[in-house]
Amino acid sequence: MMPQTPMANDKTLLRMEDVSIVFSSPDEADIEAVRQVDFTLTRGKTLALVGESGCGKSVTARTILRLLDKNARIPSGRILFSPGDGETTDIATLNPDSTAMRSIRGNKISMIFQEPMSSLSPVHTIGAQIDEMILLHENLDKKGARARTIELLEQVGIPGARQRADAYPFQLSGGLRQRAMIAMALACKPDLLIADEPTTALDVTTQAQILDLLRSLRDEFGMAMLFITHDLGVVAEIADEVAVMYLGDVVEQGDVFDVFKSPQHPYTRALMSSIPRMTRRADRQRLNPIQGTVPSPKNRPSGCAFTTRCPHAFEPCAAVRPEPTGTSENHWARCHLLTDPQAPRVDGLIQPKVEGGSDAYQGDRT
Amino acid sequence: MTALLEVENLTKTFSMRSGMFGDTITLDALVDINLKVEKGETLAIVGESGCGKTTLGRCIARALDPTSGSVSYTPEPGKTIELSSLSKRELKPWRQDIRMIFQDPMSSLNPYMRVFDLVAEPLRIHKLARGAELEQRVVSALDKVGIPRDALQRFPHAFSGGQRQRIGIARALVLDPKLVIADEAVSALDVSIQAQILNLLEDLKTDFGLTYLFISHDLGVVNYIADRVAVMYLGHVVETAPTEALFERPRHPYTEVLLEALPIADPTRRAQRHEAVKGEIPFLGNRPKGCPFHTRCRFAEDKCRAEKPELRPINGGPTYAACHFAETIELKGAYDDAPATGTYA
Repeated sequence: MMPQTPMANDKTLLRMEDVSIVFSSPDEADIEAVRQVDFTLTRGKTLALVGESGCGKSVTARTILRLLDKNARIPSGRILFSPGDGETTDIATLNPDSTAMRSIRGNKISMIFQEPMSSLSPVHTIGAQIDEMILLHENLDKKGARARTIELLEQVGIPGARQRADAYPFQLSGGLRQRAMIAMALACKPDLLIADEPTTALDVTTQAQILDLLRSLRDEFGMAMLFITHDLGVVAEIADEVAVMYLGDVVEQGDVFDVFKSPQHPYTRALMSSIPRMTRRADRQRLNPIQGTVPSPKNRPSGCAFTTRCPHAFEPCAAVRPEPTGTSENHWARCHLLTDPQAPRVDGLIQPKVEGGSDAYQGDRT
Repeated sequence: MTALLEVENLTKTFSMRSGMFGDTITLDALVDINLKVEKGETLAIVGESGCGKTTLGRCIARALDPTSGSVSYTPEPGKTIELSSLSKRELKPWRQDIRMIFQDPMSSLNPYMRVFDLVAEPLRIHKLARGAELEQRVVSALDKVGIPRDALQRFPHAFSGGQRQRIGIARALVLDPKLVIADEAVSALDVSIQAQILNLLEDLKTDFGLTYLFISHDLGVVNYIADRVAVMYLGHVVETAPTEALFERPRHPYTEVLLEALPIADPTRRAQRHEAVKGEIPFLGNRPKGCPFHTRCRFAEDKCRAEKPELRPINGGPTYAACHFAETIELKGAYDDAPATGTYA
């Protein structure tokens, strides 16, 4: 097998390189919420960004759209966006309020949020809100925009779209509101849709409907999706690829089938053994949760972020940050267990041979 | 096993005024609920928002007064108390036996009280202990849930969500309850913390012989923790069954819909999935005539629109379902492979 690391190619739509995000506050030390994150988004594919509260997944997503508050900055890294016209823009260098950024935001990259009630305007009809979006980015008059709005509302499965366009958000159910927000996000046929926990506030049957909808729209529009969730079940349902975040680090990324079958980072493995499996009584296993709680970003070890809770942590973990190491095609993880010949042996990990370690998949960052 | 708690024909109606000058409308949040909770079991109540699962838990704990019907509690054989008709004062001693754990540990703990006082409060209210004994009972309850002693004088904000949930559990445990009603007790927690709390709940149950009424919308958790499951839809119980039977072969079409919608953390099972159920849950004040589920059911016939099915034993039990066609329809379960021994075929 070839060593695989996050590499860019012509199928790459967006590539995060070494992106750090720092929040400053007047009376506290700066907090690095996201540390040197790398991941790649492929055209037409869905990447799920998964992790627990506070791991930096939403901050990462908002950074792509430059939607962070004024006290956030990006001290290092590039966010390379290649929408397919041969040009590549580094979003990290753009001014959030610039014309260039505004022509990307909502147009080429759009976003849907967890709680549609708080992200839609309560005093405008959903039709008016979608019209506005279309008028802003496309060369259409009011009438044309409304026709397009109704078409979009139909596409996202809102019954009676023509009448519903004149409804206010509070008049719609949670599922319909989420559909309206999706319609708005799709208004300009984005290349990338960022979905931040879009089904978390919904009931399971509504969630299943919205996941079905997002899957079919992705195929229809040929867009890529960055799907942020804490729910591994949802990841398994919708993702092509998955990136696992812990305390501001992406610790593992890979093909969804590969990562679920053979997770390589101890944190990913711990997450997987924390969820109850859908098994019969006889096969039931007691959950094996991660001990302790996530430390605050202030107390993050300088090495691997997971050191303090990792059952396999050994000598280099606390001080040296592991490099991304390819373990199979399109699958890499940041863990010393995968590179250090002296590391303790762990079942299921692809580790270097003990003698000499010559067979190790020594991944290097590119 | 004896039934620790028996709910019979429980109905809860809320009245609501529509608009500022509008008429009063009544919403039947619970309609004729019949349930038994056996001593020592974990009975899960599942369903989507608005199905009445929380209202049911609250009516049992008498945080709400049922409109009609009975809730009888049998702490020991031959001694049955009708909880629904007791006055507040008469009810007080029984409040020690039936305790609740809530979903959001931030809003269910008073932010101005220290951990010690939070856990001591129930003991003080019931005048069960004071002085050194009080302190000893509080410390022992916190020990059981894994909160260290040096945390006694801190305020809730100093704790993480998981630890706060542990404090909430200690508040329930400190009175040595018989029945614990856990209302979405792990829903607000991250998965790794959720697993810790689920393990804790399980250990406490074994150690103290507790009975749980576990209210949840998460069927993965329910399959893990429950012995029996009751599925609710629009204020009705539509199916009750032993957990494995329900997940192996559901008997009510709504149960199948819920199982189908459950995202399973295994991408290889994606292909087995049907398309999600159409439509939305109807408004409670506008409940369909006949079977409440007929508007979304793929098996619905005229009979379903006209006649409301009763909850009845299917093929002699132990599964009960409220569906006219429960015996004949073929419904899909949630487990992966074919049943090992065909027990529930």
